[in-house]
Amino acid sequence: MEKTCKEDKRIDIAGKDEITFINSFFILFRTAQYVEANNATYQTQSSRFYVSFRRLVDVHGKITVKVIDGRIFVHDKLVKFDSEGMVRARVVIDALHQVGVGGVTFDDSLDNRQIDKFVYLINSLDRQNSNREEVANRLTQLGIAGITLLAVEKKEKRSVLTEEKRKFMRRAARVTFFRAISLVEDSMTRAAHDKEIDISKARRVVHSLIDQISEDECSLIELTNIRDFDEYTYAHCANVCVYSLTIGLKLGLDRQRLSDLGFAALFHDIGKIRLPEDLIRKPDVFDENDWIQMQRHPILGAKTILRNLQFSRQAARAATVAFEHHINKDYTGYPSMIIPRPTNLFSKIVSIADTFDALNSGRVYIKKPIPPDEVLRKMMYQMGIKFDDFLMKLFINIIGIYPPGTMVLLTGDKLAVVNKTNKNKLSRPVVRVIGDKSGPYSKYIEYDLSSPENSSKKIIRIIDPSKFNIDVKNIILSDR
Amino acid sequence: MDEEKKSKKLSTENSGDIARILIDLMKTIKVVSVYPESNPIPVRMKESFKERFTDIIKEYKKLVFTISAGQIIYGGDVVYDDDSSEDALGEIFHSAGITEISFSEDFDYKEAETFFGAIKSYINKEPGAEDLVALFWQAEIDGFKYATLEDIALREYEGDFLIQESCVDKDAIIKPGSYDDSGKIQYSAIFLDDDEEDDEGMMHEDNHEADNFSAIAGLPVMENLPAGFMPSRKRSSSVSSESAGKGSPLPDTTLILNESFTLEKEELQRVRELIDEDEKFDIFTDTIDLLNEMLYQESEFQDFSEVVVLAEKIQSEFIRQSNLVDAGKIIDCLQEAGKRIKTPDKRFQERINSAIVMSGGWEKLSQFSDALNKDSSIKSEDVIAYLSHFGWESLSTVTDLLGVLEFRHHREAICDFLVQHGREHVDIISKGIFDRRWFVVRNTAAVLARIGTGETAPYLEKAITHPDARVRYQVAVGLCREEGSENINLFFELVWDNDERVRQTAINAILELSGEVGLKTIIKIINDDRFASLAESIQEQMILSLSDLGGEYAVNYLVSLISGRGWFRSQVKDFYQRVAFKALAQNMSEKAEKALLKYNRSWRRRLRRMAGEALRIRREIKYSS
Repeated sequence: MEKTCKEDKRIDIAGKDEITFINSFFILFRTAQYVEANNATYQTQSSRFYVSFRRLVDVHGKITVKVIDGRIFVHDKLVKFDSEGMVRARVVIDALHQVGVGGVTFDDSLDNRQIDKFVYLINSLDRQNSNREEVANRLTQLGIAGITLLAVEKKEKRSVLTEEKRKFMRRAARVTFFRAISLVEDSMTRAAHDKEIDISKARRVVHSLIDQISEDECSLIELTNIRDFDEYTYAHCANVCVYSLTIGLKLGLDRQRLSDLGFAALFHDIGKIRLPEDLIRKPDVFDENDWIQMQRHPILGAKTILRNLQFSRQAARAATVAFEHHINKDYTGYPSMIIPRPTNLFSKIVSIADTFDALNSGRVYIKKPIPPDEVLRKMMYQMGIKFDDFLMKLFINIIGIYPPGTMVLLTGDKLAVVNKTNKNKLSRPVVRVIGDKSGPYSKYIEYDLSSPENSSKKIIRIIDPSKFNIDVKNIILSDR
Repeated sequence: MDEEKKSKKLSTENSGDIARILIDLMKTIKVVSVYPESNPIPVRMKESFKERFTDIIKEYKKLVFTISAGQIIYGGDVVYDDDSSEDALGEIFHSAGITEISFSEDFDYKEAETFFGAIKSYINKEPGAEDLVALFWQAEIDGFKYATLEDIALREYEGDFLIQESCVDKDAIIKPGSYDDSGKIQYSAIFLDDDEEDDEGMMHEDNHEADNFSAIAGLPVMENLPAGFMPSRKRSSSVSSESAGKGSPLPDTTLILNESFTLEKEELQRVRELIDEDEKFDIFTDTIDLLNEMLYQESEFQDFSEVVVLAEKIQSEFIRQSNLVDAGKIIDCLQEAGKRIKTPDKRFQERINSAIVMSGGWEKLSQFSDALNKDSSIKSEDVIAYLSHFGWESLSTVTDLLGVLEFRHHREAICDFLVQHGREHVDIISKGIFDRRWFVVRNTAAVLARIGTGETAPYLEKAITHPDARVRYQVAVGLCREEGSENINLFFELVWDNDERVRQTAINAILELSGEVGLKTIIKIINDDRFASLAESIQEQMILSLSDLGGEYAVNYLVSLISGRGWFRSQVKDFYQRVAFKALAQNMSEKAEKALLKYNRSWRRRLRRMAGEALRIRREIKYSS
């Protein structure tokens, strides 16, 4: 975080005349809410306002009052209120905002009566069903030409993702992703030595992942395609966390629950640290004895979490997920429950993410990768039986047929890596063309296959990069 | 003024503004955290602060502060310094592990409200609540950013990442050491990839390793799939870039896009149901279910014992969080697991038994008493229900709790428990009588008094000689709650206690007695040499009660009170005569009537008058009833 100093340009603060003007306007407005125009109190306030109005308008020709970010400016000068004044002002601001008015310009042609009509008009509006244009029309009907209504100035919260911003996001995604992997490794090592896991660190990593996915999920999902890790278990945990959080965000889980979900997903396989290392690293397919041992990792995971973490809501949820994530919807799977009951929502989410990554990577259980579209087809066949059907559909809609990071062959003899899915056209994602017959490109070209100008370009099939010794990691980590 | 001085002056002005606003912030936080939301004081303070603070933000665009112990630093200047208490502004952030904070122009009124809400939740937090960093993160305040100690620690991991990046040759997408290091993509190999010749490529549908897919999640073997899901290998490998555009069979992936796999609006309603279902997750209940399942899973003793250890740990945690009900359920869970054991290995059952006994041991019950002392809202019935899980082995430790519990209703609950469960083990719970702390003796005496069996008598006899009147009083009160003939002797002793409260309690208890037991006790008291030392009112009550219970058998004594005690009058004699006549008046036996008639004819005018009065009262009682 960089430090900064005071800027040379300051905001102008409104002077006494402006303050008097605006205060008397608000008082007039509030008075009009309670009494009729012919009431003596109102008449007094109206006169006072008109005096202050004339004092200003005679100097400036017109007076502009704007509300920006809840603050009031008269002639672009900030009006500072005490707390009482603020309360008064807020009533008027809210009334105007409700009809889409963000400011008012008064010009010097206005007389007292016209101002009174304006004040009573605003007070009498059906604010739920009125807008700025309608109010402007009513002013015209009333013969009030000297008042102009300004629109509400909306603040842009998030900037558009420019290319520069995208590159920054991708770099941030890498930092977050590799931190997650390192954290899992560190935590599992600590757990293996019976030391307490640093839950605060883990929480920060999960929060960073959630923030990253909220901004740009594809930048993290593409990283799940990197398979070059020695200890793939740790990367697998990070991948499952990314997938799970993406599902969680789509479900609209609140932040607290997302944090719990991410934490649970990150440590869902922590039980594996208690299995023989030879088994985890075994390059060949598992035999029956291997599977018997491997099927203990859920209960070992639950034990590890409950033992090595201070008991809390997060630890309880993580232990439940570690135990349940291989239990299917029809209660098959492992471990078998003494009292079959529906598994937790988080367990269902992690189950889908875990199975997808395991099959797609070919590093976790089976030793050869399956293309993602095929994995999804296999999993969809089990929808409603093994996996929650709704969550499965949601996952497909997130991942798409061609998840980010997937290498594909395009028509026109081009090799590309999927950059981003298009939600409305899962078969036509955004791709980065990395090369063709003549070789890799020095600068990758991005195509959005869903746009009309690229309609001739099609994905022919998915390519397993390892089969052709293509280093997909370099492509994903590159900023070309 | 030269530039350096100008800059310093400017810097001092800046720091002054910032320092003032931080003081305002601290004051606002203090007020907000103390007063309820609706109170006008915090509302005004927040409004006022927000306005001033957003002014500053608009001027400075961004404010970045470094946090250290008790200090907040801006632009190299210490703008806030107060380490006097944990409520100081710097300390609030520092204790949460926050090392830097920054405010930007996005920090508007609404965000300020959220910011105060998060800090208030943190300051007033309950055990198990989120930390400040988590609260800030959940609040999602765009205009407020922070860095923590964990962020610094996480930077250590970036070493690996940097190494990965530095090793990456971004121009090379062909892996080093591959069969072709020409740097060219072997496009022809990709294009003309023949699945049949490749044994190490991707998974194929008819490869036996497909079966292992099933084993991953207990999925069935992929047999008899619909044709659409099992495309032929030839079809997938024969697709070429040219034929793709020429009406050839669509790639299999298009099957995914059929309508059955797109989300419908009704299905999106399911989101709410899933989330509502998830809200039912209860940290306690679900953990107990999990422990139950885990106990069921383990067939090896060491693994089973490990789960039992975890159950014990979780139980301690439940107690610490004042959840006695669920802590008790863990014991139930262990007992159920014990019943389910099928193995002949006795160590399993012994392990369960040991865990249950340990739950009622000193360490666990210390945690239990700490929890009770921290939380007065824990109900008495929950205390009793929890302790009821334990056997007689825990009685001694439970008795010790009487000396450490702070809240009266908790002590009473312990007493109730000991009365219920300690009848057969008086020797265990009575050790409290010998404690040097008066309140322990008192509480134990209360329990023993309520048990009131013959076994308790020796201990209560010791208790009624305790120098502290509060102990003796508790014995009296305890004896009153339970009936039992063994108590009478104790009451008799307490009648002569030098503390009036104790005396009166014992006397009241005796006066409540009826039948032969009551009569004998009162006779014993009256015959005691110390009877005359009792207050006249008490003596009067005793005599009247004697008359009431004894009927005609009491008449001789009453007559002796009238006629005896010498010829000469005295205040004492007058008192006894008055009481005796009063008693005779209420004694409905014939013998009493005769005695009164005799005195009504006495030559002593005074006796005649008193007898006449008594007869009159007697007739009133007789004919009005």
